[in-house]
Amino acid sequence: MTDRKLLDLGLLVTAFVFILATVFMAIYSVQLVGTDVSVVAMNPSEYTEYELRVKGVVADVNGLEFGLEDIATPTFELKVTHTGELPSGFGPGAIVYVKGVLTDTQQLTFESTEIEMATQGDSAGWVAPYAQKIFYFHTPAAWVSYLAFGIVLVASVLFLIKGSERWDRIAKSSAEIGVIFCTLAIITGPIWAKPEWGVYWRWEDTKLLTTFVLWLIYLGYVALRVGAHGEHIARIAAVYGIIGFVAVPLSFISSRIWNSLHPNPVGHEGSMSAIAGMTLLIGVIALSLFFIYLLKRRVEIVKLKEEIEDLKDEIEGGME
Amino acid sequence: MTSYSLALAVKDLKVEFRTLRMIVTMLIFSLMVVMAFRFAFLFYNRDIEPSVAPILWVTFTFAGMFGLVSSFSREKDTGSLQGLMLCPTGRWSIYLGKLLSNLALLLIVDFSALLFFAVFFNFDFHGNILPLIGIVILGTVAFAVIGTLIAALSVNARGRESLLTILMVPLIIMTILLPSIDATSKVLESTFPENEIRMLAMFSIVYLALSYVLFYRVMEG
Repeated sequence: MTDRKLLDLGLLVTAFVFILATVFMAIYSVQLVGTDVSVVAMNPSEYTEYELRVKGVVADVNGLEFGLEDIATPTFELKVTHTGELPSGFGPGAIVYVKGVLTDTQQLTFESTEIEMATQGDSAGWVAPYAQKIFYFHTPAAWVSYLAFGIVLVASVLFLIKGSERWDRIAKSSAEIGVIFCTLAIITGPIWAKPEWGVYWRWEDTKLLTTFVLWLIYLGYVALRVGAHGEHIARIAAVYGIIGFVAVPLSFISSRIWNSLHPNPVGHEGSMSAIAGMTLLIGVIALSLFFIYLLKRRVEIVKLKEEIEDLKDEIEGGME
Repeated sequence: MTSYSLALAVKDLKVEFRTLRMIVTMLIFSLMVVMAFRFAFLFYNRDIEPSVAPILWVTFTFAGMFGLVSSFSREKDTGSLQGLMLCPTGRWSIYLGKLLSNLALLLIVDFSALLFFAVFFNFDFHGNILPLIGIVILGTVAFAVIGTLIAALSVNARGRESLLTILMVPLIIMTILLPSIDATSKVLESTFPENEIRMLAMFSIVYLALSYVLFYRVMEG
């Protein structure tokens, strides 16, 4: 095995380890505290749901007390007492979810009660803590797609200045992979948005709109290059790659500054707890490493393809 | 440089008005788009007012893109693109000349579409027709600035007609289409669309600067 292949393999394995770490930490980020919970309901006769998920705020490190928030009938009052120790990072004020199956509507005893600690958004909390886990892949995927499109910009500029085919290959490969990661971000977004916001997509959100337009632009870039070879296509693709990347962030910034397109850019910008931030960081590193690996391989493949084309031309030239 | 651009624009328009090849097609095309909307809204009995700006700009956009293709493809098909590039005036004046002739054609088509719209939708623009014309001119300038560059870009690629649309639409959605539509709506409600005008002006300048830096790269070889 050559050094280069070893390096690639190392990169892939590291990326994979980081991806696994992200999965692990995403599971950990909404965490099971314990099952030794007693739940007392003030007026249990009115409960009809058999599966309950109760959201509340930690009042005391040694006891959880909260009212019922996110269930169809929010008038009930529940008192949940938990006598275990809270894990580090979850002080008073943290959002807590209790999930359980109701066995008796008269007495309201939970079977297999779990208390979950949501780490995201200490102040705001999430409507759907399970769906929120996709956030640890959604955000890194979006980040990697911006990185990829940024690389297209830089490589395009360098290609136009230096005329080296290497930069063109990097721009082309980076755009293709960027579109894939952007597609992932665009697909995972609505999966989270539906349970959290109640809708799949918000057109009034500048961030969504910008990402979507960026995706369209690089889809156009890829369409421009599909099956087309040669220096001229490379040059016009480079020009398009530059215009696209300059125009989109500018429109994002200006619409935020001048508030002209969308009066209220919607974003869930609650404060992030340490563990959520950590998970996100690891996710970003994981997908970035994976992106670098893919980019390296794709550039190699593009180069080999070009060599094949050149050889074909040579053979045809020789036959004439 | 300017005189050369002007000469090129006059040449383009002369050719156009002698053959009437593109302008007639564009006018019929915009009429068709307006008519398509007319029939689409035939049994829509609610207030048409909120839909006016989107209808107008979708018509302008598609009729405009339809016309932009020919500005460079005609030169290429007749083999005069090479001659144009051999002129010792620099690529930038070619761009400016094409921009001027495109702008003239686009404005003719836009105002005709506005007329078609007013007639077929029986729409009264009240006293807002002058500010509306201002917004249409501003939006069309921005559209022509980027459209000329994209037309030059797509002329040598395969399937240039569809490619122009594919490359053009995502670029103009946020930068030109949305502010123009917002501005038109505001003008029709008799309010002054200050931010939208600022945005359109900014993107006209940004796209012009990008064209200045990048146009000669497109026309190389």
